[in-house]
Amino acid sequence: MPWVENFQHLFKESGSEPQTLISEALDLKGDLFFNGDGNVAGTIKGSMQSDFHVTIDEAARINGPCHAGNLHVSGRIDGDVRSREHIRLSPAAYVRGDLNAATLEITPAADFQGALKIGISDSA
Amino acid sequence: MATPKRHDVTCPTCSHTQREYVEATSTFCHACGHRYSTRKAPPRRKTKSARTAATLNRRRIYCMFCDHPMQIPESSDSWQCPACSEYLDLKDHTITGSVGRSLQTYGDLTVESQGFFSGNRAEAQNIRIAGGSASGQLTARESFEITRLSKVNADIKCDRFLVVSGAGMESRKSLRCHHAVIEGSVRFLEVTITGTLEIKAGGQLRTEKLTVPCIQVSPGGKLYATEAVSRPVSKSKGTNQQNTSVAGVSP
Repeated sequence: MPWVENFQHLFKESGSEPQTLISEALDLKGDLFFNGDGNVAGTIKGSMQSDFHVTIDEAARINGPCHAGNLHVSGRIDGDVRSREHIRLSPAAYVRGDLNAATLEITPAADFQGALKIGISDSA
Repeated sequence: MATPKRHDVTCPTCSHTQREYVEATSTFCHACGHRYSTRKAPPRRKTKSARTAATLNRRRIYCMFCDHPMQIPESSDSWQCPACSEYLDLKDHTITGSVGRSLQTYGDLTVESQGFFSGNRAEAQNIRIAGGSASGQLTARESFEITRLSKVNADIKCDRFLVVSGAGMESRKSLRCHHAVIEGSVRFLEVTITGTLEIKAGGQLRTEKLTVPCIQVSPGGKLYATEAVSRPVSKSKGTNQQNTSVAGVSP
């Protein structure tokens, strides 16, 4: 689909590993804040926040609000999701919570339920 | 008194030519005695290839009353269903004044800036709202397009919904379609889309309830939904197209 290409620059592979990696084996209880790109594959029972690009892997389970600069979701989030720029829900994504971002992309097989506030001024 | 006109006729058996009155319908050959018709032969029927060429300029429709399939000439303005005998309107309609009756056509429907459609129901192949106002239930078998700021308070059902840049409408009713492209500003009470919702730059959609499996909001686009549901499309429940199918759709 040609419109998908509009956002590819946001998720372009840089070739380098993300600065923060929450591995699949990690089960975190509490609020997580990191300053840089991140890749979450583990379980977080609490909030997650970063001002940069965060990828939520298929194996990831987050039970709490997520806030990032750009967010690429393939895993499961039970909580509100907020992004300064773009949110992308991949086919494997499962989100129960409100989405708030400047731009949004929900792929056909993603599973989402909640309110949408996209492109509204206070989303930043 | 004028002399009756005569013309030459030729016997089909012996080719003998003789003169007969124009009004005569038959005669006996003066040479061989054969009786034959003096009327000119009726025009020959079209050849098979000519009839086939005429059939190519037809379109297939389903009766909006009984779903009976039929092939109709594209140039026809109306037709009668051979199954239920209902009258089928095939004309394009442009509303420039006030129309209070329901309208069902296989042509296109356009509501111009001075137009006011207040019938219970309008059904057409394509519907274009170019200003003006419309209410009731509006069904387009193909596309529903809003090209200017309009007053539309109607339940809209179509395959493709398009709001061009600068156009807009607010409805306290619902929208149901397969694919929606929003470049203007629209508001509905409820929106159900079985395919993709695209909101382009400058586009805005506000709704209380949104159901759609695929969304793309470009930079500069706005989407506000109090309650939104996006679920994977189940293959067992049929295709997206079937979910929005409306009566009379050509395959």
